[in-house]
Amino acid sequence: MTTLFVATLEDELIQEVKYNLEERLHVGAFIPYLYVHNASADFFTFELSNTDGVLFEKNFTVAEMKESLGTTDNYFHVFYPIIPVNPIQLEKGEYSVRLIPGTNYHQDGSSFIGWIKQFDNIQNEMDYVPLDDNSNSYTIRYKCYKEGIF
Amino acid sequence: MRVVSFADGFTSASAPAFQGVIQENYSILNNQSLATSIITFDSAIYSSLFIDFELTREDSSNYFSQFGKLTIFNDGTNWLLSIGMYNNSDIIQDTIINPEHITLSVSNSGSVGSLDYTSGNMGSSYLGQFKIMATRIKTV
Repeated sequence: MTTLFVATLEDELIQEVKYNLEERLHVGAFIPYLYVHNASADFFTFELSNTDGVLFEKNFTVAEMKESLGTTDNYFHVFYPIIPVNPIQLEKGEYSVRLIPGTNYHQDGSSFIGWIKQFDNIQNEMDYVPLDDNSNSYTIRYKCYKEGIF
Repeated sequence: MRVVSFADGFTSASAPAFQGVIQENYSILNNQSLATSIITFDSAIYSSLFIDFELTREDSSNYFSQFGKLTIFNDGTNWLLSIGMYNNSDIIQDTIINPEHITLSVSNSGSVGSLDYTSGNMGSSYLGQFKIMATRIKTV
């Protein structure tokens, strides 16, 4: 049995992210951990932004998520890769990643998508002490490239 | 936030159990003299439900509404129902006397409970809706 702590997508879900290294980060994929509950016909937008504005955004559908898992089931959890055409280069600083619903999305108890909270610091380090499951950050992984490593 | 209990594996053809808030909209049929199920709940999965509801009934010339709370809980043997109503339109009654009346009750079949209703006869132009926001507490 897997227990998932899922924040339901309503208007949008936002995760603040800090990148602390001095060297530039080359991100080949953003990989949020998502839960889909019978939301078969909808599309969503993943967005990366900072104070300058939106740096990257990409739409994806539930059908594409199902295809990535090779399933026709309507209930699933998945680390779903959002892949930019070219790697996104990030400098040290603060960013926001957002999950935004498409125009026809409507969530209720029988149909919704959610972003799964991480347990403690398993995926990414948090700069605060979470007081409960709900105050954990959303789970996201990054596929990063680094020059000079063979 | 919802707490989803997922069986082993990443996919499921059927809905996994979760605790948290659900929002649903059910039709209330006209002239149901026998108890008709609205929702069911299994004590193997849930121990209690707390429901905010909006009930409306209307026909071509009349409109009735009722707002309130339902507390549905399992005492270890049976599912039980407590009703709290916010306004005084008095649609929900113990027995049906007027056409707009409905009754609410909980029935039990083993570990599975059902929220049931009966309804009065408001005629062929009738519409009825039962909208809920329900918090379900999962059995540990």
